Amino acid sequence: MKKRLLVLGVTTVLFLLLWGCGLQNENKKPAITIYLNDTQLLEKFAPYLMESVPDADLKFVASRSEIEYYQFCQENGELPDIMIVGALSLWDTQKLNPCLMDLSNMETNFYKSYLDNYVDGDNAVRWLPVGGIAHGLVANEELFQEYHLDFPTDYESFQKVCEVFRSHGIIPYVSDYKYDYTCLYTLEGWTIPDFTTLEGTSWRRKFENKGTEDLEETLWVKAFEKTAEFFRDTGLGEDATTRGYTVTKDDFAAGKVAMIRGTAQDLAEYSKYHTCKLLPYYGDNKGNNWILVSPKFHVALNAQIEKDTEKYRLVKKVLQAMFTTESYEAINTGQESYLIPYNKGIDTAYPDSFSELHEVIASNHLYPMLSTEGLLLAARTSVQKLLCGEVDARGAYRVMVDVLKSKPEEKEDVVATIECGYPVTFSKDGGNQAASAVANTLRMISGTDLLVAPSSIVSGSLYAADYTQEMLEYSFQSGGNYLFVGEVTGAQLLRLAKLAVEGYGTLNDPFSDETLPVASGFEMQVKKVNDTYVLEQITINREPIQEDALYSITIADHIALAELYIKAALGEDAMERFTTDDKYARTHWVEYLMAGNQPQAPNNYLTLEVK
Amino acid sequence: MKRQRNGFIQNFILLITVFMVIGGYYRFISGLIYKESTNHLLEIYSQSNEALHNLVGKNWMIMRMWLPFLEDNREEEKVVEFLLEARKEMGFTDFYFLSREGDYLSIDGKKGYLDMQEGLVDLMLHKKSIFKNTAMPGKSELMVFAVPASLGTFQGFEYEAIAISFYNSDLTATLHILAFDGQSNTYVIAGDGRVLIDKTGEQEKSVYNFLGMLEDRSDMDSRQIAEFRQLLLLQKKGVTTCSIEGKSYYLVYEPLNFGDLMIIGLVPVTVVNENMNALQNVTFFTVIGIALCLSISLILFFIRKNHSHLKEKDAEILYREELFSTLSNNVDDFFLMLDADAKTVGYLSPNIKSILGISEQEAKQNIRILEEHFVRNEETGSIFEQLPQMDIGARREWEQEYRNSNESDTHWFQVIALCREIQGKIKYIVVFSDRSKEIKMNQILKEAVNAAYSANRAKGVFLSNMSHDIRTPMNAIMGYAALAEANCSDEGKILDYLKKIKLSGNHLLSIINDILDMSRIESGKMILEENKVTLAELFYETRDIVINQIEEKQQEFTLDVSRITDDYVYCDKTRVKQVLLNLLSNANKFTPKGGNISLCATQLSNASDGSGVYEIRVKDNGIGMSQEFVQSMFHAFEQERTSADSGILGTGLGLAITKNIIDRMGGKITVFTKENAGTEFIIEVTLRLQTGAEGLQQSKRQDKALGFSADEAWEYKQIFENKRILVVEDNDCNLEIMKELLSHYGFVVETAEDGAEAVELVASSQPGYYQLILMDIQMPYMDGYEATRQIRGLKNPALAQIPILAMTANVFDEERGNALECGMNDFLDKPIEMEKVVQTLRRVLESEIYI
Repeated sequence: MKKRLLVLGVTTVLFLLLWGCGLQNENKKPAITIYLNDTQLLEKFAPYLMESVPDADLKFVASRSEIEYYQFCQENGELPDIMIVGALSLWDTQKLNPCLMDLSNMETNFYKSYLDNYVDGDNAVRWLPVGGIAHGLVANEELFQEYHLDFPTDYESFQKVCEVFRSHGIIPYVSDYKYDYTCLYTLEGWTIPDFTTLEGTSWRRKFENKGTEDLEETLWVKAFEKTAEFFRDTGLGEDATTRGYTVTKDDFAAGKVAMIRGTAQDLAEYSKYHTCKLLPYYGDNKGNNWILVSPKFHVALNAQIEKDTEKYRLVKKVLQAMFTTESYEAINTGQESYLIPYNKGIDTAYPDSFSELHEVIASNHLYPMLSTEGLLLAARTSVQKLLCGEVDARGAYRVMVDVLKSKPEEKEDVVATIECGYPVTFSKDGGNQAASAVANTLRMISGTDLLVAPSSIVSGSLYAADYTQEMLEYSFQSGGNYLFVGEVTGAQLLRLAKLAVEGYGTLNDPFSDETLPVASGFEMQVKKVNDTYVLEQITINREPIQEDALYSITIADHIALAELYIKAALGEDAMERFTTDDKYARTHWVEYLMAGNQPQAPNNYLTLEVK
Repeated sequence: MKRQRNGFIQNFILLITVFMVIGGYYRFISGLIYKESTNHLLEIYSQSNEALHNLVGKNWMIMRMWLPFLEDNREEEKVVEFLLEARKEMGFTDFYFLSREGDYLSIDGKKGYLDMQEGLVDLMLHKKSIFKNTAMPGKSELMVFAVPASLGTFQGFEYEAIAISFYNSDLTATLHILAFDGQSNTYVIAGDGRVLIDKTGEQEKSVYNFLGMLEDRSDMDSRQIAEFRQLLLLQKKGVTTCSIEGKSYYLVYEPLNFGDLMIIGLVPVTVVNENMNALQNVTFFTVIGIALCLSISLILFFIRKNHSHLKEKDAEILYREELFSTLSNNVDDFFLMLDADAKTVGYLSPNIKSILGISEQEAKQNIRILEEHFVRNEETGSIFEQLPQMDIGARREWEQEYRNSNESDTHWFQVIALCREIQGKIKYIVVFSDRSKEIKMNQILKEAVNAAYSANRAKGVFLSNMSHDIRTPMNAIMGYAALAEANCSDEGKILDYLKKIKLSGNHLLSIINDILDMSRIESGKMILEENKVTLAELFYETRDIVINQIEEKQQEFTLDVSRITDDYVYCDKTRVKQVLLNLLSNANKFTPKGGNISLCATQLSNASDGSGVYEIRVKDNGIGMSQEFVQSMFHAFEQERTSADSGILGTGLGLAITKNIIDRMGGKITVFTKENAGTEFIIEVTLRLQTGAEGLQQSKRQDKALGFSADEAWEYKQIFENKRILVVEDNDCNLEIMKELLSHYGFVVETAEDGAEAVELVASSQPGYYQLILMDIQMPYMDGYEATRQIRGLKNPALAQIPILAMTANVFDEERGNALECGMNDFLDKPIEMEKVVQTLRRVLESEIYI
């Protein structure tokens, strides 16, 4: 009898255990890690994908756009399932190619001719472009109207417009030539008619296929000549070489500048200040105007996925979801944005800001941007020298050639070694360990009691590895994050934490466990009800906070988002109570580590209860 | 077992062979179909290829033909008109003048860039005609056909080539490669696998690289894909098969003869082979069907045959079972089948219940119960001890005694045990045959044989005795007769001799009478004749008969009938007297001189039905009998040894006759005896009483009959004087005796030696001449019956009614019946007792009742 009872008991326990396991497994969806190149994609695109593929557990990390970073991740054994990067050249991705899946066999709705630009030497297609961004000139329409100017139709009319603006004390055109991409895109954009010639086409094909690393002299000299002409006509000089994004934006916003180099994506931001139009790179006649087009991003898959059939199925489902009208709409972050489709069947409806591009697009004057790291670096050097007047067009060409040839192949020096790695994965019992380590470190740097930041502050796991400076920088979010330091009461802290968890209408609003905010110096108890996060309680060292107690706090975020956040939580004038230095949070982070410090150890800052 | 295994192997081999034949046939048909299908596909795709080739070539040719017209004609309106007309006819989407940079001017004046990538180099630098896909924002995929031209200008646009474009989907339709009801996929691919044309529409998805698709989704491994890639590079033509996502396809490849372009077809095998498969299936299933029908017919035939066989077997088994069951239930045998452990019952006939009183169920549950019924003896143990000693094939037989629980008796069984191997298992078959009846019968037979042997022995003794007993008086007769013959002159001696002859003759006669009586008794022919009898008379007459013998031995004789109240009864006086004489004679014989003999009759009671019970005691104080002899004293031919030793004459039949007569009368006889002390026989009989009148009449008649005496002989002579009597006898001696005796009583005796003579004498006589005829029965020529019948058949009634008395030594009733039947009036037993003869003759002659 006893034996029977024992057997019955054991059987029951085993059954319950197995049943429990079964239930657990039943609820467990395959996890797919998606690294995004831009925090902007967290706003609509990432939630769209989650909605499109509900049978997968999509874990988003707002990461970097640099191929080198993914290579670094891969070297540390952690390549994400889906990688999304911005601009790239096939040449730069070659080191990562063995880890990427060939997508040429995948059924997609791509125009095949567009994919021709993504064919590797082994006939594989590893990167698929999503959403062509038109690059051109963002024009303040209001200024044109103010000075009764029509938008140019060709280069000549552009020259005239510039003259008119200049005569009125308006800077006709300026841009952030501090950056390499602005240098290269300017060089490329104004020379598109030459690049589309037979010679230009032949050279590009050879260059992309690595048939040559040389720059075709005639072509490129002509490109520099055109660029030099453009600089002259717009009055750009040496001061442009130090001009960054913010200054440029501020000048544009202030109505000081009529046109800046920009993209369809930038229209969303600039349209906040003015009615804007996107203008093409003008040719010598109306039918020869062009725009540069670069994909919004490129997507690649980890080759290892193929080993897991179910995961592969779901990843393909995620991928297909990116090539739809809905996806394009989710990628567009503002009304004025417009992405030129690479895929068939995407609804096209040009916004008003595209009115000057209709003909250009219709005549297929869309030139795929050529961009490699080498070209970017060489273009910055040469173009800046051109701007400074140090070289003429041919001289600039030589500088560019020289820079291209002198580009060091060897790795950068190791500047820091992180001894203990922390994963970027989220745990319901503690939060994101990598984000916590960064947050604790930044709080220590800023010397405050508390710190709150979006989880996207960290671009991936912190590896126990040697870091070059570049990799240190890549380990931190790329946006313009600053450390905003101030003082809050316990009640205000609660309000800040509540908004961070429950959202305040920005891309920082959490839509998944991974996107919950990171805290340092206090703990948050969060409850998830029907996919909505609710802050239950905050504690400091596991003790309830004192509502009237004062705490020093650091808010690490993009300046725009930080402002919105502080205002929403603490009132319109609250921003004044916060101070920041001019140093990016990332810079603090890099310098701290380069000084031989180790990241602060993470702590369990968040507990999540799922109802 | 081995046979079963062999059967299984044979069936298995047969099955494999059938499957191999079917498989071979299927492979053969499939091979044919594959060959046909591939040829068919190649033909179709060759046509498509040719169509595409023609289309491209035609487009190029037409465009080349346009070039002189375009170069020469300066009237741009006409050019536009011409090209619009051409677009209408050819169905292209647009016409382009192409600049060296790839810009175009369309016929409707639109400018743009036609992205032909490396195709532009071929076209403009190498002056090659090209055929390239391209895309334009907001439009479906386009296929461009372009030919180089001399530098020309149209509407101010400098061009070095012209081109026309088609929508990809329109092109595929034009090429008629939507064969197989649109279920096929046709591609134009480059040598590196890139798809230039496929049939996908605006909303459909397509693969970029066909080889990549094969690598990812087909069952082809990397080696096969490399081989296929090589075939493409070598511009080979052919068909192979592959499986894509589990579905089988024919993969058709054929060079397009434009650069490295190939036309590729992917057609589902099921679609291609639909009709062929249908044909194959029809053929295959027809063959299979026929084979199946034949097989089924064959199987049905065998099943039916087997069924009939089984039915016959079943019937046979049923009959056997019925027979066995009937036998089992109706014979005194029961059957048992046991397993090797001699415990488990395989079969047990149900009649064990009737034979041993054990229920079938009880015995099946525990067959060892037989041991409880087994009457153990030293010779054989129980079957459970015997069976394990038997080898396979052995047979044993023994007899055992078992007790039936429902009966007190035991039964003897002949047990036959057989040890057999049935289907690999050892079985004991045991048959129990009840031999009790046979054994009892044998016992009876044995006893009967012993009895017969005893009887035979007794007969032997009897014959020996008879021989002695008959020869003795015969010897005396013969001897005295010889003496008389020799002394015929001496009348005194002769008379003495005749007296002794007569004595010996009487003795001999008594012996013969006893034998005859015994013979009658044993043959069941002795019939008691009930007559009115006065018991006192009977006893006294008996006394008179034996008194002389008793007195001769100086014995004291006492007769006491005083205790008889009903003297008049019905009984067979002769037989009762015979009984009494036997007993008294024996008493006389076995009682020494001076002994006492008594005859005492007592009426014990009167029965209510008119009968009386009488007890008759005959007692002596003679030598008595041994108790051993008493056990068989009433058996025939049994004589106390001492009787022979004592020299006392006797046949040994007397007491047997006595016992039988008493038994016939429904009475009983008991004996009390003691050696040298005497013997007393007690007879108890029930006799029917006479009514009063009958008793009185009977008394008078007897008185008259009893009046006959030796003194009355003279009176008889007076009566018989001159009465003519015909004696018919074939024996001269007897004839002589009769003639003398009858003559002595005054008869005139005439003789005849046989029946015929007698008939003749009577027939020839005058009526009244003969007063009586004494007729022997057994005679030569004509026996007494026939002679009587003929005499009775005489026409003269007086002659025919002459009284005829039979003389026969055969005194059985049958003879008597025959005699009366043929017309005789009465009988005279041989040998003749003159006293009886005289009385009978007188009665016949005086009485009218016989006539």
